[in-house]
This record gives sequence, C-alpha cells and structure tokens, in this order.
Amino acid sequence: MPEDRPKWLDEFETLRTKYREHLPAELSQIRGYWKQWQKTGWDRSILETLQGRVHKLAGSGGTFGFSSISDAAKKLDAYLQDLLDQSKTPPLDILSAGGQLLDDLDEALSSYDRPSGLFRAISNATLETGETFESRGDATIFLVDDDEFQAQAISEQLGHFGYHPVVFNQPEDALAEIEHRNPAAIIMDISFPTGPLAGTAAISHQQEKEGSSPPVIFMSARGDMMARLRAHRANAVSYLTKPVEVRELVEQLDNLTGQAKSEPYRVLIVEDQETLAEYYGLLLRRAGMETRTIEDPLRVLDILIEFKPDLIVLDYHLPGCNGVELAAVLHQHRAYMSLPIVFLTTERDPMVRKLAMSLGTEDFLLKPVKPDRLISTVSRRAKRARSLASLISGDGLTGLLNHSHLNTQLEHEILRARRYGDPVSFAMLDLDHFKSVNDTYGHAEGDRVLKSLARLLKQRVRRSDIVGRYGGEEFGIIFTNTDVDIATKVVEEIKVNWSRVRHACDGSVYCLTLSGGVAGFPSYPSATELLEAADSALYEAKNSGRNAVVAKRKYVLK
Amino acid sequence: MAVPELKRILYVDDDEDISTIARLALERFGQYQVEMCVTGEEAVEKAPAFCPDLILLDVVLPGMDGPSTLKAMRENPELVNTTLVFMTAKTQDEELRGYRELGAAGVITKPFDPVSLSAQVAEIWDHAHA
Repeated sequence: MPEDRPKWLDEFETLRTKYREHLPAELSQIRGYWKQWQKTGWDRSILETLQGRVHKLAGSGGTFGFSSISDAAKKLDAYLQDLLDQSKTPPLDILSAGGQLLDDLDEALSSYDRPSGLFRAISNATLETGETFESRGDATIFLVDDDEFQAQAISEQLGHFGYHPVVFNQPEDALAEIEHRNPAAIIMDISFPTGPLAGTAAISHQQEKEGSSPPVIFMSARGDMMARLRAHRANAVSYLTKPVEVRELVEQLDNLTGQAKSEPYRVLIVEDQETLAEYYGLLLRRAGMETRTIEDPLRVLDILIEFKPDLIVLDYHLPGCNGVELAAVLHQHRAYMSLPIVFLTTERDPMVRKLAMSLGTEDFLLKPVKPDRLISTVSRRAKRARSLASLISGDGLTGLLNHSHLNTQLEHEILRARRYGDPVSFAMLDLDHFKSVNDTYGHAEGDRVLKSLARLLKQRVRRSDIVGRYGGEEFGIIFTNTDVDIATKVVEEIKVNWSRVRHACDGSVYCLTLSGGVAGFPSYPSATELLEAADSALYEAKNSGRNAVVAKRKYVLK
Repeated sequence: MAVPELKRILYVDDDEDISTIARLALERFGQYQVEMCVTGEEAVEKAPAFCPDLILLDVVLPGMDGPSTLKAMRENPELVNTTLVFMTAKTQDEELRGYRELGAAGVITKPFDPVSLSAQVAEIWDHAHA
C-alpha cells in the first residue's frame, strides 16, 4: 500500500527552498564585495568580510543538497585566504583567477536543479512497495546478417526467449542506427558481400571513430584464426560459429542485458517511532531496496505472508513485546527459521547485547545509525540469506526452486489467496520423449535442454509467478492471482513456443514438445488437491498424444 | 562500563539556515533535545541552566569565536567535563588537530549531511565515553 509523503520530508524541502531563494542575492553580494575591495584600494577588512561570506557558503551549500556550490565556494575561500596571507597588492593575473572562481560559483548556482545527498533521495523518493525499481523493458538488440533467411531464423528463435532483434543486412546500416537506438548488444556476422571480414572491420572502425561500441557478439561460418583474431581486436564479447546455437546466444544476451539481474531485497522495518521508521525506509530505498514499515509488532506475522521479506529490521524496544521476544517467536516458524533479523537499539550496555546475542539474534546496530552502516549491514545479511536460501531450495542445474520448496511456496500462496480471496493456478509441465534426448545426444545435451526450458519458462511468466523443477523432466508453475482459464492460455503459449525452439547438437537440429496439466484454487481448495488435479490433467495430456495442455475444472452440479 | 546516554545537545551557530536544519535533523533522527544559541556569549550564559550532555559549536562565530567559547566554558566548573564538538568548513589537518588539543572531543566538517549528523554526533559521544 503506498503511503503518504512523510511530514518531515516536507519540512526539509521547505528549508531547502528557503535556502535556495537566498542564494542569488548572496552571490551578488559576494560579487559586490569583490568589486568594492578592488575599488577601495584593497581594503583588508572588506576582503575579510568577503571571505567570511564565502566561507559560510562553503559550509552550508552541501547540507541543502547544493554540493557543487560548496565545492566552488571552498576553492574561492582558499584563494581568498591566500590573498589575505600575502597582504600586499596582488598582481593582475592573480586577480583574474579570482574572477574566474566567482564565475564558477555562479555556474554552480545554476546547477541547483540537480540536488545532492538527502535531497536527491527525496526527489527520487518512491512510494513504499507497490512500485519496484526495475522495469522489465525489452532490450534493443541488433542482428546483422546479409543472409536474410538465416537472420529471420535466428530472430524467430530468439523471440521465444523474449528477444526481438532489429535486423540489418549490412553493417553500415546498423552502425548508422547505433546512436538513435542505443542497442544493448549487437549480433554481427563477419562475412559480407563487401568483404570476408567486413563485419569485424566495421566494428573496429566504429570503435576508432566513437571510442567505443555496444558489446558485439560475432557469428560466422568461418572459424579460422584470422577471423577470430580480427574479432578479438574488435573487442568482441564472444564468437559463435554457425549454425548458431540459440541457447548459447540467449545466455550471452542475458548476461549483456542484465536479465540475469536479481530482484531487489525486500526489507520489513518494525519501528514504533514514525519518523525513524520512515527515515530507515528512505535510506534503504535509496540503496535500491523495497521496504515495508509497520509500527505494531503484533502485525508482523500478517505482513510476512503478504510481503515475504528477505530481512527484518527490528527496533529492540517495542510496545507490546520486546525485539528479542519477537525474534524468538518468528524463529519458531519453520518458514521463518532462517529469516535474518537486524536489531536497532540505543542500548549501549554490552551485557544486554550479549544476552540478546545468546538468544540467537544476528546483528545489532546502534541508534542513531549511520546511513551507510545500515545499508551495508542490511545488504550483507540479505545477500547471505538469499544465497543460502537458493542453495537449500534451489535446483542446482536450473536454478529454479526444487520440489519441496515449490510445494512449500504453493501452500504459502494458497494461504495468501485464501486470506484475500484471490485465485491461484498451478501447472505441471513435462517434457515429451525426454529420455530419447539423453539416449541420442547424451546427458550433457539433456541438461542443456532442461536449462533452456527453465529459461523460457522464467521469461514467459510474471515476476509474481513461481517456477520450480519437480525433478527429472517435470516442472511446476504457480500462477499467483490468476484463474485457471488464463493460466491455461499461458501454458498453451509456452507449449507452442517451446515446440518451435530449435535445439542443435553435433550438427543435428531437432525440436521437442511438452505436455501440461493445469488446475485452479479455489476449485481445488488445498495444495494437495491442487497438485493431484494438475497431475491428473497432465496424465490426460500425455494420453491424448502429448504436445497438449489439459485443464482440470470441477463442475458443481446444481 | 556502560556508555552514558546522550540526551541534551546545545547547538551554537549564527547561521540561521544551518541551525534550523541541524536542529530538525538532531531532533528527528537522533531524538535529541536541542537548545539553540546564536553567539558564544549566549552559549556560556545558557549552558549551566540547560545542562547539556554535549555542545555542538561552530568555529566561526560573531564576537567570541568557537575556540574562545570553549575556553570560557571550561572556566565554569559545571561545564568542565561537558563533551564539546566543533563544526567547521575548514579541513586542514593542522586546524583539526588544533581543535582536539584545545579539548574538543571531535570535529564535524561542514557541509554536513543532515541525514547522518545524529549518527556522527553519537559516534563522537561513544568514542569519548568508551
């Protein structure tokens, strides 16, 4: 739920506006003193007054978010101090330096639309949750190949994985568009009608001219040393031989476009002093995290279900129950046993802290907390918890949730859905004839296929949906807040897309299909029933000839 | 031994804009009780009654400057041990060392970040009372 802008932010903003309003007058006063000093024959007291004003400006600008003014004023301050120290008529070139510094100060004033520090954080302030920092925009990719047929084929394959490249047939056309379109990556063939190494030459030329180019993945039927060398000299990110294996291309593109980026950490803040709570939230959001704040510790369990934090920041002294008790209660729950808690306390007594530590709390921060201390401690703990969790709950090969954790998540989601009256759908997917892939091409290829499917699934569902691997060639998808009809449609699209992916191994190219079963809550009112129904639907899909999706619905006869 | 609690801060600065934001920052983020003074003389006068745990003193003041104010404070037996922190836009090491030698517990450089001012003050306090 987005919250209103906290009062104290407005208070700070008001002060900043007031300060800004004084600035132009202050600057012209300073110039006035400078002129006066020169006119009145270098009157020392005027110089001292001038320096006093500049010194004051240096010490205040940054506090109000005008760090460039502080910087410029500090330089001018030092310069004026030098003049005072010399106490004789300064030569002309020294004076012109002063003029220049004054101009710099004026220029700094005009930069006041780019605030620094706290005020930059305020102006970028996002509302609490409801908004996330990342948007899943489509990355622009260029694909450059004179063979139109090949270009289309690659394009089509990439499309299944969420990439829709802009196709060019000549390097020159692509280079011309770099400035407008700003591609995240360029996939470039090497041989063109204009020359057998025209691709690498074009990129090298671009880099010489502009100083750099977007990252380039070269592809070529040529695998010879000369081509590779030229590609290297053109600072290629990688070199793929044709026929290009789409899966590898996708992996390279993922790395370049940051699709492999992780979600921001979610932090729950439990603090009964409103201003402090908002302050911590602001600091953590400034660092790119998502936050939620509650003042009443007794509400924690509710929020946990809804918000699923990676970490809790907990004030030690809370009304109703103290921080340590709350931590103990949380750790009682199997699901929250390893949820990291960072304590904030004014308590400086080492005995008290020792006691708390012995009860199993992890980290103590002293209030008032330094912003960077809070951010670094929270990041560190959240990161550790996440990697631990993924080790425990993840499938090593695909990185998806494993069987038991997928089930746990499903229960979790049903609990949530029950509370808010939302639908949840579950899909069970199974690769058709997977055994033959292992038999024909080997297990390494089988693994690659599985990874590829995992990647496609993750890309096709929303961020709020959960994908897991059940084992072998079976996958599960939890569609949150989705009814069974929509979920079935999505799974059918997945089925079609997957069937069109061309897998390449040892020169042969082949396609695979999958079957899927879908069922929904609340028709199937528990996790167990939901799983059984989806499984049963999957069985039907297989029986009907595979490459099919079946949805199971309960019909209530009236 | 436990570090005593820092509750009351006497803030001395003639720059109105800075004083206001400092007070806001100290009260909001540090939950401190803050008393303001515009000159060194005023501070010397108000301090005994207010009984601050810590004094935040700008170095540049009209009339009696920061260091002179410190000396004047120390002449009062009640204030001899009060923790005192200077605030200054100067960053040369010799100056900073000079302030410490005068008896300041620490120095906060200007421009300060309102968001971390309280934490900086607390750090100096903790360090002085460790």
